[in-house]
Amino acid sequence: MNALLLPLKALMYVNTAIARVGKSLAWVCVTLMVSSILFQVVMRYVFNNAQPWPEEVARAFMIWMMALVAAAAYREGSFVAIEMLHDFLPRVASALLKLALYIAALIILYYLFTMGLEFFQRGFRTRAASFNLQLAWVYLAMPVCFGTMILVNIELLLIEAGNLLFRDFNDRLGIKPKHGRAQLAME
Amino acid sequence: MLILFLPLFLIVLLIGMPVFFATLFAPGFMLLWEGMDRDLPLLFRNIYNGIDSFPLMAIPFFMLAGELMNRGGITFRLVDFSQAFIGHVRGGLAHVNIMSSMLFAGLSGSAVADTSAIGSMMIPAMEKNGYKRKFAAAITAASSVIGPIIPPSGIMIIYAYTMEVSVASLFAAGIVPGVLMGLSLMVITAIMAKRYDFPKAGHKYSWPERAGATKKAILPLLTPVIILGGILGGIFTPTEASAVAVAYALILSVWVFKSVKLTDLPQVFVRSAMGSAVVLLLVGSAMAFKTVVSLSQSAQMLAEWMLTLSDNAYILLFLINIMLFIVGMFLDAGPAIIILGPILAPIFTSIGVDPVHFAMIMSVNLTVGLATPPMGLVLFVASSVSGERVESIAKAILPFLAAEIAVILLITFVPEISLTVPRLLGLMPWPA
Repeated sequence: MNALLLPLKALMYVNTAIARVGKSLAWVCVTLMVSSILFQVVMRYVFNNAQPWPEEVARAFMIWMMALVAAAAYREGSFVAIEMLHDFLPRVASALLKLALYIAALIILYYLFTMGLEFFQRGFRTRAASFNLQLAWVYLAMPVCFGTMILVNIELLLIEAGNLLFRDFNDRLGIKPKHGRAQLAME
Repeated sequence: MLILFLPLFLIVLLIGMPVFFATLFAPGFMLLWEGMDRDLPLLFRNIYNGIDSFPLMAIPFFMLAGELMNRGGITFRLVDFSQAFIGHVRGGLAHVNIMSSMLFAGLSGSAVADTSAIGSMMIPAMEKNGYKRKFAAAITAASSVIGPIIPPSGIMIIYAYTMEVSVASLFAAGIVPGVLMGLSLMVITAIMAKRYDFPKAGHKYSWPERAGATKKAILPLLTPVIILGGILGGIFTPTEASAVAVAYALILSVWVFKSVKLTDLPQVFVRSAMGSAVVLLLVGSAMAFKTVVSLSQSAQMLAEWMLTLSDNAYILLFLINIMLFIVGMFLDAGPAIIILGPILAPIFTSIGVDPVHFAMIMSVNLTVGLATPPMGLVLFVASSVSGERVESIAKAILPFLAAEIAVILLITFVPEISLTVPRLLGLMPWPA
């Protein structure tokens, strides 16, 4: 069990750190989004002098905001799914199905990550329309988003596998059973 | 057969794959299967372009404004205001609950926020006043679905964006259906109040008392006026209006009511960032999904099949209502709109249903689904707010659901209910 527990604990530590950094940058992104749109509103309606850049800047911050917290949201279970079937399946069947779904998700995320990297590299050839920056630095958000989600996906997959193999796996890991749907929605 | 991605999509969705992955897995898998690998980067491009959007920015902003307002203690001001005007009738607190939901709907675009904000205040108060707890929880859940129908509304922003309809006309179109929804719940409450002898909530307020409650609630009540007035009057784009709403909510909660500390703000901002990250990814994947829907011509094939069932728009609309209602039982409104909109909307506009009208039918139907058993999200929220079991709330909510279904049918078959306000405001042409 330790062969599984130790790397998983290390991964969980990394994911927690990523989530913390992501969250502390994301709220700055939100602040800058709101500020640049409000700046535009003031410029347009008070000074009658709309600027070309605030909307594009705000969009770039929105993409980064999403990229920085998407993994944390995935980890906390806020990705909507229909989980009814799992209530009717026997424990082992449900766990195997969940493993298969995590593997499928991993493949999808891998595709998205590699395509995101290509997209990032091509972004060096284009500049933003209204400010002097290569678009690659905005595009970089996508591989960051999907890369961090891959790490979370591996964590979730290993936890599921561990629980399938060992009955007391969650206790050894020190995690509590998942929240209900409503609790998640209200947090 | 690229069109096989639709059944494949249904299967992976039903076995529990998260919607975000399912909307990419099915089209991606079928493209690879058909040897159309070169189209995969096109999917990726569409995800990115789908997210990189100015209109979508209204979603994080409205979420943030709603959260700030809720923490800012405006809920009790709205409840107080409702109490002052209708608290004295039989079944008073039940009516207050419904009216507060309608007022809250003008500030927030989410049924979950509505249930937890109003439920945590009203359910204990109603219980103390002599109502059964499951009834209090049921009416909170039933009235909270008005949240995303009366503007501003998160799901209508999503609908407008993915289906290329104007947000302003959807917002305008939602006003009357939302109010009708509230009134229908009030009618049911009044009938039940008479039959079961519901308690009154206290004395009738004098006009000076009412003026006092109004004064306390006036600043939050101005929010919908600013948002809607700005958007419908053509002053702001919806995104600008949502940013102004954030600023207004910040001023109210931090400086006027002093109920939110500046140091609490990062946490509030992160919550709305996380909530909207999930929505943004979903919208992005929906745009990719939409590309494959049109590549595979599945909308046309489904349309042909549906037209063999009947060529009468009314019968088809009725059938689609049943289908949406069933989908709504299992899936939240946002993801359901993202998945079904691109498939269904073109079919119905091609047989002459107005796009804005169809948007209302879908949104209202799927939002009511939030309060229907077995999977309705607000039922779960109402259950955790009240401590009552989901099953007993699900039973107590049935009379209210019946009223809401009646309103859905009314909205479906009388397009004028949705379309008159946008037409009056000049957002849509009058029929020739």
